[in-house]
Amino acid sequence: MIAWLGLGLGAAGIALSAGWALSVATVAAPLLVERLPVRPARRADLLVGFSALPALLVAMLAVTIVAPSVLHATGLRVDHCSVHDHHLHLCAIHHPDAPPALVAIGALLLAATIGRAAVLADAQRRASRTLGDLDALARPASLPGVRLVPGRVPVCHAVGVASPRILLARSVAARLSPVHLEAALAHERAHLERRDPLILSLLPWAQLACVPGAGRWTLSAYRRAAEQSCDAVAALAHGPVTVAAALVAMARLQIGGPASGGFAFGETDIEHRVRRLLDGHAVHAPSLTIPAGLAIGGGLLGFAFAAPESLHHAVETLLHFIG
Amino acid sequence: MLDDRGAAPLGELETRVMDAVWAARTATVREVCGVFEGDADRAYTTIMTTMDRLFRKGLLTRVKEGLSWRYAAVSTREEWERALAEKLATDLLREHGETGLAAFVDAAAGADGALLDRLEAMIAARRSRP
Repeated sequence: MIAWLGLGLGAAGIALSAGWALSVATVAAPLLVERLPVRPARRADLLVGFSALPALLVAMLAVTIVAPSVLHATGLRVDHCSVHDHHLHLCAIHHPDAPPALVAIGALLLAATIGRAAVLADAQRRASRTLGDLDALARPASLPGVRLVPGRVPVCHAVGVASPRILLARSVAARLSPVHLEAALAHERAHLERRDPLILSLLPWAQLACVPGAGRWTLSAYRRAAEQSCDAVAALAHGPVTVAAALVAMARLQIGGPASGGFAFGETDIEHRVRRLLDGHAVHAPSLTIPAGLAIGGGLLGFAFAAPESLHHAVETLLHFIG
Repeated sequence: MLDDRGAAPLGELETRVMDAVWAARTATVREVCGVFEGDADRAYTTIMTTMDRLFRKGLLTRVKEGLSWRYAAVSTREEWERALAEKLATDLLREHGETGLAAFVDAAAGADGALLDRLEAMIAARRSRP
C-alpha cells in the first residue's frame, strides 16, 4: 500500500510539474495565436488546443508512470524494470521506495490541485444554481430556443451544457429593433452551434494542470476568437453592417442600464469587432474544437495506454538525467 | 418597496404561501391554511412560521386583526419576479461571467457613449457608400 501511495504521489509530482512547466513555457502562446492570419474559428480551435496541452501531458505522464505497475500487478503484462538497473525506477512492484523528494512534491502539487478543483467545482455549482433560479423565472419566447427573462439587466446570452438555450431579457427584446434582435440571436445561436457554453465550462478544468493564473490569457483570447467567429456567422445571414449596428445598439443598452458586469474583453473589444465587420474581415469557418480535440486527445491517451512501457522507460531515463 | 432580502429565490412552501397571498391580496394564517387543506404536512404552525419568515424577508407586510395578523404582499408577483431576475442576472454576470456564458456583447469595460457615437458614425458612413 505504501509503495502504491509513493508511486501515485511520485507520478503526481512528475506529471503536475511537467504540466506547470509547459503552461509557463506556453504562457505567451495566446499572444502569438492572436496574430496568426487565420480565421477566428481556427484561432479558437488552436487556443483550446494550447489550453488543453498541459492537462493532456499530465494525463499521459500519469498513465505512463503508473500503468506498468498496474498491468504487472493485475497479471496482464510483465514489467521488465528489474532487467535494467541503470536509472531511477518508478515501480510499486520491484522498487517500492519512491524518492522522498518526489513524493513530497507530488503531495504538495496534488493537494494544491485538489484545492483549486474544489474551488472551481463550488463556483460552477453556484453559477449553475443561479442560472437555474433565473431560468425558473424565464418564459419561452415565440422564437425557438429562446427564453425571455424579466427585468432590466440586458441579458442576451447563450447558456447551458445539457440543454443549450438563449436567455434574452424582455427589456432587450422590447428595445432592440427586430433586425438587430435577429442579428443578436443569430450570433447567440452560433455560440450554441460551436458548443461554447460546454467549452467554457471545461477549459477551467483543463487549466488545473497549469500554474495558477497561467490560463487566463488563453481563456480571454478564446472568448475573443469565439465572439468574432459568431459575428461572422451572424454576418452571413444578416450582413456585416447590420451585425455591427446590432453590437452598438446592444452596447448602448448595457451602458444605459444596470451594469451587466461579467467578463471584460478589453477596452476596445467592441470597436475591434465593429471594425472587423465593416472591413470585411469577419469570415466564417466551422469550429473543429470538439472533433479535433476528441481525436487528438483520444489518440494520445490511447497511445499512452497501448505502449506504456516504452514511454515509462523514456520518463525514467529523462528523470535520471535531470536528477 | 422590495429590498435585497426579498429579492431572493423562495423554497417550495414559501412559493405556495406567496401564491396564496397574491391570489387573495390579503390573508391570515388561517385563510392560507385553508388553501393547503388536505395537505398533511401543512400544519397551522408551519404556515405561521413561514409567513413570519416572509414578513422578515420583506415580502409581506402585516396588520393586527384581533388576535391574529393579516398579511399582504409588499409587491406584485410581476414586480417580485422582475427584482429577483435582475438580482440573479447581475450575480450571474458579475460573479460567474467566465463560467459557461457566451454573451452577444459585453460593453461594461471601457465602452462609453462617445465611443459608441464614433462607431455609429463609422457604420453610417459604411451604409452610405455605394
